Amino acid sequence: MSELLPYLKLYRKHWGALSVGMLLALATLLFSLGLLALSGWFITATALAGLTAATAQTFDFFSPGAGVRGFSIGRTASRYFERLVSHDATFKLLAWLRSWFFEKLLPLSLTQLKRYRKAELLNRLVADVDALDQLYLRLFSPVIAAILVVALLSLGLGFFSPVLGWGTLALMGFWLLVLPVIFYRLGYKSGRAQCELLGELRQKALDYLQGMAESRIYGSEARMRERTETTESRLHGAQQKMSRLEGVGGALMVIGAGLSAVIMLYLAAGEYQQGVISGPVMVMSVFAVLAGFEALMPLPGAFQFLGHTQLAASRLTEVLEEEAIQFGEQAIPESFKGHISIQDVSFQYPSLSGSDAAGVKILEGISLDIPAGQHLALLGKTGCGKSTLIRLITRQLTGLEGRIEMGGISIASYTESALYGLLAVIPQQTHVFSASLRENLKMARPEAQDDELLEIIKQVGLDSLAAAEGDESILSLWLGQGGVALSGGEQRRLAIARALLKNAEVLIMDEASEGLDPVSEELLMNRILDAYREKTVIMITHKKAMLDRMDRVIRMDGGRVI
Amino acid sequence: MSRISEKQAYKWLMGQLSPTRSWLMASIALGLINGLLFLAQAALLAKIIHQMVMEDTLRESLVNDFLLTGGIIALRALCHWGREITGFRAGLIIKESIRGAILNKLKALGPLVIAEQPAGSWSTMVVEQVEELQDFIARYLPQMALAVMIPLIIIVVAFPMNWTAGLIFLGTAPLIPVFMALVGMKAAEANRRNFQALNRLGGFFLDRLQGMETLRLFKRARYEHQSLEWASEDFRHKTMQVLRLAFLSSTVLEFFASVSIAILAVYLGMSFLGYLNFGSYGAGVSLYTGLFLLLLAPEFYQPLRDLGTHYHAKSKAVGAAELILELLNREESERHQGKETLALEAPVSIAADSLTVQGSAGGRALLKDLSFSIGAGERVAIIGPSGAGKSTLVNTLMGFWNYQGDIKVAGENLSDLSMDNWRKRIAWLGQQPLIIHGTVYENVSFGRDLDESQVKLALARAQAMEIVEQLPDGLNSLLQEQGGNLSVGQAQRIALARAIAEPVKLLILDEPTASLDSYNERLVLDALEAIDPECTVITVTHRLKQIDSMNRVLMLENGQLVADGSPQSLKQDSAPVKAFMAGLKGSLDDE
Repeated sequence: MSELLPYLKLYRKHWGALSVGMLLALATLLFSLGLLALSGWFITATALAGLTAATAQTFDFFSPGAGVRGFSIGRTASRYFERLVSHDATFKLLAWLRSWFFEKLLPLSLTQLKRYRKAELLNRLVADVDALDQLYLRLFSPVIAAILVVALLSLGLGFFSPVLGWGTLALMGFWLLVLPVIFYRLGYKSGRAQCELLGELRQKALDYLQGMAESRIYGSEARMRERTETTESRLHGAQQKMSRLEGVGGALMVIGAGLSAVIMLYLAAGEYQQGVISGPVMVMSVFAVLAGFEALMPLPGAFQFLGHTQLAASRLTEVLEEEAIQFGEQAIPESFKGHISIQDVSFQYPSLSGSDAAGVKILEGISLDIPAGQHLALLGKTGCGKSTLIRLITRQLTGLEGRIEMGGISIASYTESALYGLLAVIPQQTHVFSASLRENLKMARPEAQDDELLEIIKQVGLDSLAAAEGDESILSLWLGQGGVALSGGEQRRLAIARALLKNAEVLIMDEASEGLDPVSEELLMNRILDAYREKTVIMITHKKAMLDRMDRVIRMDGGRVI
Repeated sequence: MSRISEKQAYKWLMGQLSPTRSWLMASIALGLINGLLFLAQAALLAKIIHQMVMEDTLRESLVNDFLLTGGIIALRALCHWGREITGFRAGLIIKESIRGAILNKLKALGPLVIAEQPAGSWSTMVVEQVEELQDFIARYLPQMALAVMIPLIIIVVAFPMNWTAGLIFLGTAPLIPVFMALVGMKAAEANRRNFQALNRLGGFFLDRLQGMETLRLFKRARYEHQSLEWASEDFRHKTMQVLRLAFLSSTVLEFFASVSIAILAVYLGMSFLGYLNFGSYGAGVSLYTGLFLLLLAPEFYQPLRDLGTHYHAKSKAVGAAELILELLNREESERHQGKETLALEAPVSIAADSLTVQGSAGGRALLKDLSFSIGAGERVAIIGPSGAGKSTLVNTLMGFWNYQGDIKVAGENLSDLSMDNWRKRIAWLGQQPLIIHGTVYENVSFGRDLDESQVKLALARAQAMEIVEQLPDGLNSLLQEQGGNLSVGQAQRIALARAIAEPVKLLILDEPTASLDSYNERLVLDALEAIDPECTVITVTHRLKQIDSMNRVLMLENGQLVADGSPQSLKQDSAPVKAFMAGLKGSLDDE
């Protein structure tokens, strides 16, 4: 349970809505229990009263009748509001948890986060956060409601006879203790095995499908298919085990509810025969226990789910405990000039798998002095360390050996906002946010006006996006997921537009013109280099055509400048 | 390829059930028996209470009834367990058959169709989407039958005992189909909206996580953390508005369930007190009947409420079925599949005559009217701008595309050959090396019967032994792709070892060094130099250096053959080749 502790604290912020939801859940259960118990009491009492005309005449049927109607309306109403309140609270929690997690993630170094960039891992991360916000709806609320129902019911029946009170507590309390343990164990072990086998099957299917061409050529398609099928049947074996246990769990619930009622009846009958309680109360207590088991129904699911949530929580904690980037206190100096000095910089990626691939040096003792206003081209083959150098300058990687200075001050001393205020970066891959074009551009300069944005859009040739529509509407065009998908070339244009808008002191471009046709390439590169004429520019490129415009050309190979 | 509607998908899914019908029937039957046993349990409880309260019987003389009730409960538990098992079996059989169908379909469609989408989306279909069917088949379908049958049985039992109680049930019974529709539509709507909202929020969150790097560079991360909260708030508002209405439908069901208990209790009480005198066919209501009927009341609605909780399973399953059916409905073009075989040692020459390849049916031609011939043992480069049809040409030679015109390999018509037999003569190496989840040995042997020494030899010839020596368990080390223990260059050398592990007569290389650094490129090229001179080698390439060392160059443009000759002569005489080469010089990759 300790994995969950840091996350449990988060719930405090919304305790108001959450406790209202919980109270309503409890009310629903109590109303429904009361309805059946009171009905049982009522018909037994009337049956007894009806034996003689005199008792029938004097029997007050108004209050129990009203009670029965009240309970039935109350149950309906509280159930409705419980659903509303708890869903509302879940949404609130979700919003809050996500932004909390996002904030926590912000200062982390990309060296470690790189692992999560693969879409699948990131998806899992999102699912893990989701698992945490379900904790309330699926675990807390039902468990607390169940405990309270058992306590209140025992207390209520104990009022009529201690035997009944203790009996209820023993019978229902037993299941209240046993069910969580059984289902927690069950969910934890087989759930984990199932999860692993699912992952393995996904991998095997991926291998089979991706390798279809190869396996057809090597005549091993049937063998590869067999690999998937073996894993599939192993998965099904694990699922079968789980389903058997689930069946046992369900059967236990049936036995629990049924036997408790029977035993309760036997106990109550004893009390009745000794005259401690009346016949109607005996019926009421049996019906109450029978209906009370409704409160225990969600427990198996809740505790099967707990194992899953713990796993999610520990994975998230692992992410959040990654090394954070420390920024300094230095603001942008008044007299800042874009002078960049790289002094004896080395870098190697830490090994991810522990043993082998460690120690491959990406950069080895690079020194480079870039005077303010110089336009520098960086050449070299794939894997020579160009992009790594860029990432070190932009402080997206930690683990730098050596020193990088900007304007004569180590980049580590700048505050985050100062450093990124100085830099405009066109990365190799442009992230198009699922937002309007306006939002996608304005992140480069939040105060930019629409006409300014429209001007830039024309300059970079993004106006073709909405050729048919008016100028105004193009800014509201939704991009990214759920909107217009930009082609590779259009993504580059967007990135260039952002860099033009930002107009920082230093421009860094990583293959900025990739995916553009030669004509637009020349046009756009000229435009951006003109805009940054007086500023420092570092450009990684593969194209010869670009080099004429640069002041200096540097070539890298094997982590060194040559 | 048309979109599959929800209805079609549902119908198709129901059509898949036949192999599992008996398990489903068993599951429903067990559910029914459970329902009947519940009636018996209720009757026994009512009887015991009646005996004790009305007849003053002592509990000690009713021990047999107590025990009998316990026995019935045990039987019910058994039924419950059996329901779970049989339902699961039913789901399992369907999952197996649909998974098989998807894989068979993808196999029939071939690697080219598979490559149309990221492989991850296919594996999601094979794994997750098929899994979504489980709960629908195992739980929802049996429950659907029970939601109709159990209330019916209760009515049939209740009527002869007391027609008023029967009427109270019956009065709400015609509403059951209405409820089913309501649960089906409104609750489904609520469910869908809820999940849609969650999914969109998840998408938004994921999007911002992916773009974290960009956000940071523009100093926007803190702001975006705010907007994440705003977006969630907005979604919450809109979704709650819908849910407020949608929850009403299930509330109506709750209402009937509780009100019928209340009416029944009041009716019974009044009858006992003598205020009401109808319903029991003149016999008067006994406490036994009253308690029995009261115990049945909650059970009357329970199956329907359970159905509501499984509804989510249905919408997920139908959603998955839509995607699966869309795939299964795709047309497979007939593949050439002859029976002729080639002698293993026969050197492979290739002659194409008016070769045309049509993409999708009615689409534009990917290759137009190509005629060329390649001699056995020749080293041939295929060049051209991207989209010119280079990969289509090599894929056609490997038998993955249908074609018009003639291709003769080693003198035989390609379309007359058994593809399995023909492909035994080919090896292929693509641009992106494929590493499967497994050991070095498995990656090289790739399902073929190769012994360890053959694998080692192949690795040595592919200059890949040094990689294996670094790994802790040698050939038995598990390989992990990029970000794991292999770089792209190392992966490509492993893939090369796989390609040359068995002697072949035709080696097809599709830009084998495009994503490699200079060190790995040199190693791969060295390894290729050492290939048996009798083997024909066709290389798709962009690298000038590689082109120069070839015997022949074929240049494609827009699916047409625009140049064919030795690199030296083409460089001087062919205008398209000259223009293309000039373009390549603009790239610095070759220096």
